[in-house]
Amino acid sequence: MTVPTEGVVVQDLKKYFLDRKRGLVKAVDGVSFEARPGEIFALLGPNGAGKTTCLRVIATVLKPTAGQVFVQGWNVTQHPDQVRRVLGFHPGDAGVYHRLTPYEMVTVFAELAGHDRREAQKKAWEIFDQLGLTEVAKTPMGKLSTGQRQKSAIARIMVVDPPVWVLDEPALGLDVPTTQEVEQAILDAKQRGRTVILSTHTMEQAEYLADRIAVMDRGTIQAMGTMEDLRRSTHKTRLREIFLSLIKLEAPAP
Amino acid sequence: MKALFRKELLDVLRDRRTLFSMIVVPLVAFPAIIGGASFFAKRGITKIQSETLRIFVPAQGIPEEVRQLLEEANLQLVPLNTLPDTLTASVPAALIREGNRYRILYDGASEKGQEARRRIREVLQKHKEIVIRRQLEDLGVPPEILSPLQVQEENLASKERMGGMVVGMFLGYILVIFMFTSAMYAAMDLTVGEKERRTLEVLLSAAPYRRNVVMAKISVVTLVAVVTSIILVIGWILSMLYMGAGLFGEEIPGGMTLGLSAQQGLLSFLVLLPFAVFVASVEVAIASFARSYREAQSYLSPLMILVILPAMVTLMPGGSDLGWWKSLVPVLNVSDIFRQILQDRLSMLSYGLTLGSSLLYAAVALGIAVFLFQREEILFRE
Ligand SMILES: Nc1ncnc2c1ncn2[C@@H]1O[C@H](COP(=O)(O)OP(=O)(O)OP(=O)(O)O)[C@@H](O)[C@H]1O
Ligand SMILES: [Mg+2]
Repeated sequence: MTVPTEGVVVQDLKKYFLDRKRGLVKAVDGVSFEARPGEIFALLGPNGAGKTTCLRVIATVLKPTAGQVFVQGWNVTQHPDQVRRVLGFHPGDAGVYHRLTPYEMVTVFAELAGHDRREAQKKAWEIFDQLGLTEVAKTPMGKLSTGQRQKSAIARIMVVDPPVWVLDEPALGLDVPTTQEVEQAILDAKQRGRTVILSTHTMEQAEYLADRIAVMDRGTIQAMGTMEDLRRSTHKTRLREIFLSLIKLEAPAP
Repeated sequence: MKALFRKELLDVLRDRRTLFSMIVVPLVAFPAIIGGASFFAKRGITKIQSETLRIFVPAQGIPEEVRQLLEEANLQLVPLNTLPDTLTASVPAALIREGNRYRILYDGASEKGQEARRRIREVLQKHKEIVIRRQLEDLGVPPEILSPLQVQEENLASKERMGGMVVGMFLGYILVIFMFTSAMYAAMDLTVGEKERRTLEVLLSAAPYRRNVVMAKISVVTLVAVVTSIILVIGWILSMLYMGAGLFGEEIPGGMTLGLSAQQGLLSFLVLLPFAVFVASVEVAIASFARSYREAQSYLSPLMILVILPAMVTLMPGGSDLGWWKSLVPVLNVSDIFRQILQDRLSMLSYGLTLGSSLLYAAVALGIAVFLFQREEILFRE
């Protein structure tokens, strides 16, 4: 088959861990989906569903046990270096260097991505302005609030502005206005034709941002499609109801 | 690679523990050791030597001449009638005479007792000479017969070599341990530290080559170890300049000079570099295996003992007499070569073996560290 040279393709992805206590953990067990440029794709699912694991494999942090993943046409197993050049990963809660300032982190990572240092510095200030980070841009991130850290992490990706954005719970622990700012940045990326894959626990955010949604449970995708698709197949209207009905399919009440 | 190096450097140079063990500890170590040693040495010796000590002496039986000599030797005579069972802390020695036999009773476990015994012995020696001299005179023999030959000693070793002997004993040992310690904090900070703060994932997904990520980390840790050693040497030079004479002044005329020529410095640096790479690689490899700071520390602390033991061999009397194989033992070879260089009796065979084996160990450790770092079972253990 031919693999599109843009966006992300995940084919029958499996990721197993060998755990000392639990034995073989099938964190991701046969997941397939595609995300296209100019699209926001959301992964929903209860805790332990395998969302983070999925995103880590796409971001080349973990290697797939089986199946294939392509990012901008590059296979993550064979060409992880190429994948890393075209992708920005945000690993959820922390992921910021406590002793570096937002300015330092953003410019160093832009350099890592092969950007010119001068240009990255200029762009950094524009983005700090946009996110309201200018005042704290030269304060070590250990001293920043959760929201400021989260925004710094997003700023790190915005400066590089890679074709593919992989965001694990980008609004974790954020208040409403800050969530709004981060969401706007994600929508802007979509407008610029970036491919965005994110995971979230907020139904509202998924509905507001995502073009397509996949509901995961126990390592597999239970349903996938636009809100309309999901409503049609489950005969429910609100995403919360849809989500619960899909989870219940697999998990009988104890 | 440059950006990676910059990032690691920025990060680690703000870690308090690394900074402390890289700059503060090595800088004050030698001044503290030497200052402390010379302070106590001087104080302890001069104090006891100038102190008046009390000894028991029987009221009768000791010739007046001996009594006088004892008093001249700053001993205060405490008369006693019966033999003491035990000596007291304030009277740590006694002198008894049984015919021609003098008995010195002293408390060997106390410094005062030792000092009192030394003075009594000197007094009796003097007394003996006076007695012999008197008897010879009675016989009409010239007293010069007592000293038929004269002995004079001269130390021809240069100040540099005398200094090198003392430095060499300690510097190699302390250098190895300090390098290991500061590198340990840096290595932990850049590996488990990143795991705990969940920045490792960001780094791994952003830097195209994972090999470069480890290499940058190991380079920065190596740099920390090398800087530590340089600062340690600076601390040593400073303490020698300002305090060395105080400690060695009497034995080494004119005080100590630091005999570190440019050539010695270069030779030392050449072995120091692969050694630093070796230490950095080993520590980065072990620390990246750990899941938390705590776990990393529990792996690396026992390793410290493995390092101290071979380094300690250089402190032992027979330490330099081991066979050529000592130049192949990691840690031991390096601390021994520092001693050889500083004591100015470098054997080219051991230098070659040490440099060669150090390079080999560094390469192997680096290879293992890079290999382990690429394995996700190592980096993401649950
Ligand atoms: N390195 C690992 N070793 C062993 N098991 C792991 C490892 N990483 C994840 N798992 C297991 O894989 C499963 C999926 O975890 P994952 O973090 O992907 O879930 P998630 O959907 O992101 O959950 P959450 O919503 O809580 O973030 C869990 O059971 C987890 O315990
Ligand atoms: Mg998760």
